[in-house]
Amino acid sequence: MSDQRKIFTQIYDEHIDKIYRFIALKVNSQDIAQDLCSETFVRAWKCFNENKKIDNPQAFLYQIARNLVIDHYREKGRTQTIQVENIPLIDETVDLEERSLKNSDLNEIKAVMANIKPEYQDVVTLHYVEDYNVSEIAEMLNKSEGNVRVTLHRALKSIRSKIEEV
Amino acid sequence: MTRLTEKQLIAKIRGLKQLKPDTSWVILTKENIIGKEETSLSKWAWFFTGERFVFNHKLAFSALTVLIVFVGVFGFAQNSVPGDSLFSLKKITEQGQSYFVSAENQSKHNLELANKRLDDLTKIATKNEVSNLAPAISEYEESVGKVVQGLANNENSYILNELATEIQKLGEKEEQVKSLGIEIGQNEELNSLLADIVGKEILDMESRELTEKETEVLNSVKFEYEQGNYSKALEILLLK
Repeated sequence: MSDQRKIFTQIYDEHIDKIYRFIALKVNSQDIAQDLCSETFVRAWKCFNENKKIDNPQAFLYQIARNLVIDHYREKGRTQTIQVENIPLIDETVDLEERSLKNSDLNEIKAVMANIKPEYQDVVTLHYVEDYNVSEIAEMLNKSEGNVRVTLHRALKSIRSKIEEV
Repeated sequence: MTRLTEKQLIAKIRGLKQLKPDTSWVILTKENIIGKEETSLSKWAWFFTGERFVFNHKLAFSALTVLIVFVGVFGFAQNSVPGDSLFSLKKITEQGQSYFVSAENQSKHNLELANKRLDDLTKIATKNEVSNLAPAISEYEESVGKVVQGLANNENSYILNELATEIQKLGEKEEQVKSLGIEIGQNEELNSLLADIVGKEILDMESRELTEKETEVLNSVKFEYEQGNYSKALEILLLK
């Protein structure tokens, strides 16, 4: 396997779950999430193969994914109201009762996440789900660290209020 | 509804980590985008069978193919025996080799070929390939004819010494072939030639003053000569 291919395989393996989650929390179907996710990696591989300079692969992937989601909604002329309940959660090992409790909890948070601002979705997903620190997120989203902290604070407040509305 | 603490809220959000893509989709997508992982073997297989390679080196590739086939057929022909379709190819190779043999060594080379024909004959008899028997015997007789011709033209005693081992081998193999029930006939020409050579050697020895050991050898040679075992007499004479 060529070095180029080997490096990209490693990038793919490290980021596929994260990018999929990032997209899945923004769109309303598993099929669309898969399509946009694979398109993200196709575009990244193309750039990578053309030896284009990519300083931060993860920031680059998130940037492509974000743009694809924006294009998707632009094309469909949809509003920001997104339903993500039909994206299955992959955890077949827990028993049915536990799974149903967990699923109801997760479906609740998924629904809430789908109804907050996209900029809130980005920071919350990257920080609490993918465990990136503030400076990493700032670099990825091309924002200042202070801006990320403020956005995070507002995002949590928004999620809490949405949950309490239910 | 009870107010969630920040910890509880964050724990809920962290639960979204369970959202994962289908494993088979992940693998399939990777294969579609990056291509299947290649082993070192398949990499080489592409190099030799890949379209680009073939078309870029069309002439060299066809020449290489012809060469491989040619070498393969020649290699295979070396195991053929008289009566086989590839035997003529083996014979051509042997004839080609004889052009590079000096006139002095021609008799030895002919004897080696006669020995090979006897080997073929033994092989045929062992495998019971009846249809190949007649051509094999005829090939052997032809090779012995060449031996006789070569020996008749060669009176160099040094070369005759060299031939002793080959003649001895030939005799042993003839006996082996006969023991397998194959009649290869008497080589009258070879016998009379050997008788002639041995006769001349006996006369030469008798005209000289001999040591005790040489007298002993002469007596043995004369005994075998009188019995008609000319090849045996020559062996004793040449290996003295």
